[in-house]
Amino acid sequence: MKSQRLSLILAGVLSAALIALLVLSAPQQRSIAEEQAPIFYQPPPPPTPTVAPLPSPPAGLAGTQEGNTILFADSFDIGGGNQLNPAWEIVDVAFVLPEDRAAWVVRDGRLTQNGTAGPTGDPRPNETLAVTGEDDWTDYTISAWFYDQFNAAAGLVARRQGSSFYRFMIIANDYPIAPRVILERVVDGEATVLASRDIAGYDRMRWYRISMTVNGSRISATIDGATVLEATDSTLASGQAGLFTYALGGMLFDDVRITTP
Amino acid sequence: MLRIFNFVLIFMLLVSANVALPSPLARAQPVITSVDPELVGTSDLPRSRNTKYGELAASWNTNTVHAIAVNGDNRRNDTFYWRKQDSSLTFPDPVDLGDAGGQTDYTGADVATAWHNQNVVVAVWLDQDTDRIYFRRSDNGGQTWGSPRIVHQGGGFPVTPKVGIRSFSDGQLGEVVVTWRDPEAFYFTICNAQGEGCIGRQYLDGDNREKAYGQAAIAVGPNGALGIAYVTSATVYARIWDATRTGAAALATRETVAAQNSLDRYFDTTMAIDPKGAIFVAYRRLDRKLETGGADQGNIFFSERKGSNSWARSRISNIQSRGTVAIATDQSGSLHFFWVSAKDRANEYVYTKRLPDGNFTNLFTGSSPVFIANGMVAGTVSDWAYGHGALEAFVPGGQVMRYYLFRTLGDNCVAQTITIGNALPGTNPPVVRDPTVVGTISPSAGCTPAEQRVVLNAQDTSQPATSWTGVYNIPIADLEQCVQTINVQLRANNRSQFDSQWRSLTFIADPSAAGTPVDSAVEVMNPKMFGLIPPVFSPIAPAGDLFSEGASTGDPGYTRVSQMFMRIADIGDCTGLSAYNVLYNNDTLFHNGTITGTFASNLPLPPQAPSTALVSGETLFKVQVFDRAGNSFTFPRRMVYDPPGDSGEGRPVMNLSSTSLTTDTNTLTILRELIINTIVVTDNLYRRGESVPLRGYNNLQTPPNTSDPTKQFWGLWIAVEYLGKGANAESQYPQLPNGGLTFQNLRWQPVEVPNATAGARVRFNLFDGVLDRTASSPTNGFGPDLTKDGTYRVYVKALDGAGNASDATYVTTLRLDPGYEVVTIRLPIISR
Repeated sequence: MKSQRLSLILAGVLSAALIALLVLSAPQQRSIAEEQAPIFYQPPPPPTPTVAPLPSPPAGLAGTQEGNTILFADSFDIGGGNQLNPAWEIVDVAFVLPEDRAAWVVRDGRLTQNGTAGPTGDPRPNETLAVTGEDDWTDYTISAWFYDQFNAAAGLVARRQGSSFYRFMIIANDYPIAPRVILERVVDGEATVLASRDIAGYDRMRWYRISMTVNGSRISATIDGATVLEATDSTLASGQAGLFTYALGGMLFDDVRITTP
Repeated sequence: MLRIFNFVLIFMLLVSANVALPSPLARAQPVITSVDPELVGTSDLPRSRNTKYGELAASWNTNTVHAIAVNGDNRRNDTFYWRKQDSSLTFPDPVDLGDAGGQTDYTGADVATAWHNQNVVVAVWLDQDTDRIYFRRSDNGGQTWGSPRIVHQGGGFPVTPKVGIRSFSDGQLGEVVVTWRDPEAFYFTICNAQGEGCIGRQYLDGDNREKAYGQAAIAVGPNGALGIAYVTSATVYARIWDATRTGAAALATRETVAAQNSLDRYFDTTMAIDPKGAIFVAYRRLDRKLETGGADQGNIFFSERKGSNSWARSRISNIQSRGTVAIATDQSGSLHFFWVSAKDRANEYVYTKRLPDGNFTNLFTGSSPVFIANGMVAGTVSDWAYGHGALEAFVPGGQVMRYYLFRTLGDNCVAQTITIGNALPGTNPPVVRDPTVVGTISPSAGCTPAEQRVVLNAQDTSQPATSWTGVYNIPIADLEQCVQTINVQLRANNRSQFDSQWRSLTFIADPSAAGTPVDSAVEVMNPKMFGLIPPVFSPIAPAGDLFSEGASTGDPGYTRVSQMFMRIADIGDCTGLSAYNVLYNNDTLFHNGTITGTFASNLPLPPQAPSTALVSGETLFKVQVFDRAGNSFTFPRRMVYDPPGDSGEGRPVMNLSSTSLTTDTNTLTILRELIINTIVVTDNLYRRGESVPLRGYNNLQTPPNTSDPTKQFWGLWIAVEYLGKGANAESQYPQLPNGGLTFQNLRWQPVEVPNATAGARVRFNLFDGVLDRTASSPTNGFGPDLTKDGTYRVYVKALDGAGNASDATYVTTLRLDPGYEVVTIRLPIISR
């Protein structure tokens, strides 16, 4: 009788444990209330247009000449085009809370600025860099392709140390601002314009090849092989090279090359 | 086997219980009206630069919109405060409330108004260089500000301070509550209404001291209501103020508005409390797919608190927001929503409004050429219902606070103008003489009404409505009520319910159909009653001392001169009195005049018929009174003209042989009584009780019945003379006329004798006008200190109602003994 009672208790405990396991492992579903029809139903947005393939770089583009020595090159093909080369360092120019840190990812063989790294992934207009190289790099040309889906500006940086660097920035044409092409010196986060031109910036959904050369005190920048800005400044002597944009997401970079000038 | 069955049964019950886990309350799906919000325009706040987390508030009493944000660059920042009228699109230049060091994107500021005293505006901002949160208060709607107070200092990296101030229906202010994030947890402090005496930093949620996200939101409501909404660990929480408690303990137990689960996370909440005290929290939900690189999907919700930790949820949109989902209320109870849509990475802002009936306007979706995020909103109702949205608009090199002004066509469907068609010309406020009031209604701009409800003197939503016509014809139920108000409520053709706002017009009702169209009191009376004779007569002074004038009081319905005293008083006429006519009894005009205020004057007494002379006897006539609305009312009146006649034929006749008057036996007082033992008086016209000049009086006894001798006279004339202390005083000073003295030398006192039956007593004063016969030159009255005990002689004549005295004079004597009592009045002595 006693053993019978024990077996009953044991069976009950086991059953309760089984039930609890089943309950906890049951797929959670939204309640009916949560899934009631929205007051305002909006059809889902159309899929984001496919990114066009990289165009063939025309001969003579900066950073592509055969005679130059390549210091660094990345076509973001590691891991099947979905893994970031550890040589890259992601930098938030100003202090941000952890949830606001810029998120960069490699997808489909392109380095993509993907908003912020917080739980919402919301875009946030923080200045952010993806840099590589060494602090003692002095004279070089950095070039890259960029493709903007919904960001605001793209650019390159050179001689970066901490929050000081030279920056070549191009602003999307749909932003009502002028000038849209700027070469500036940023020292401890404070920017000073070295040169600018009130010319067209760039159109979205299109690849552009941009480059920036620092050679002694001479700084120059090109868009699709054409020099658009030149300046002279010797404030910053050396530092890393990299890519610039805002943590708004939607900015793609590809085929980054850093060569001797 | 049975046991196994039981286990299976229990298992099934538990699984089914899991399916029915507690979930948010479902709400009835609201109706989306065809009302389209209209964007009036957009403007950037002046000198806004590098702003983030700006805020809006509104003062409904003055229709003022407040905005605040930290602005600047390179750590040299200012806290700018802007204010403007709700209908204007642009803000003027800001006021700098104080320095705010640090990165502008992490400093932040907030502005709020007190619910019950909306001239009170409070502001907080953060200076990251010193980790201080500053507070300032304005008591005049933001025009001027008090000195800054430090409500908190210290911490690791405080960000996004928010403020609220409690208030109560009597206008009293309660505590100031400030909350902020630092940075893993939310904190709050409580200070007095001046921002002083703060209790120090407290955890807003002691159970969640990490994984704080975004910014908290404070909302205040009626009767001290205050709540805070915030997000930690992807769950939306709320803390609601317990108005019965004070200090930190008053923040009631944490309530869960939207809890994260394995599918969903919730962020970016704001809170609003409507005029009825209902609490609303808005927020967004994100799918967890985003964490794994999935599609960017989410929804927007708001929840209404139905009780302690009970929230009913509504899904507003299936497209999530970029940053905050802003919610605010206005004084009509509408809820305003404003957010930036995250649809397809587009830069779109969205505005909608939940109307007081629970239905929604359509969405307004606008496109921005630049990146936008973090909407904020406020609502006001003035000439329109306005929605005030603001957000962060980014352009490379800086970020501005951009303002959007919305109003809602078809909303606020009210009577813009109400006219009265049958008002008297030139009257302001309008005066209506008809038993109905008629007129027209014009709806407010943008409103096409479907129904109208016009109610007199009440804003009664239970009254029936009619289809919209734009005209009304309302019977005036209470014709005697002067001030009446037309209340109009409209229902727009695209709304299921009437607009909650009434519009009113007040008018003066003075209908001719009222029972008494002219509210006046008309009195005609014996002109001798007041001694007011000018310009016809000279005043009688002192009253009653002239032998020829008779009684100065007398019966009001009788006059011995061809005059009457007429008084016309306004007793509440709605428009006031303006004129009068005195008409003969056949309605022909005898005399007229104007009335300013209360009319009082002696006027000629109308003869009995036009074109005839006034003769003694009754004359019937009418007084017609007009008010300023043109209404008139005619009052029949009667007077008896009773002159003494050339031969004294109009005087009363006192039969001395049938008259016996004595005085009382109290010889120690100067107040004496004349006792009427018997008196017989006959008169030609007067009979007591038939003269009351009431409206509609019908004299059935003209000439008066003479059968009752006690009603043939109105009263007595009494005069006294002093004869000295001698034992032979009466013989020493014979009755008048004697020694050159006549009755004219006496001072006659008229005394009414209301009841002349045997034993009636009339009181008189021996010293009042007494003629001192003992003086070498007899005069009336004694000096103040003389002792005048001795013998007095009393003369008595009978008076009719018109004041005519009898020729016959009754005479009697009396004594006043030494030690007599003089009338004295003793006043209490008050020591201070």
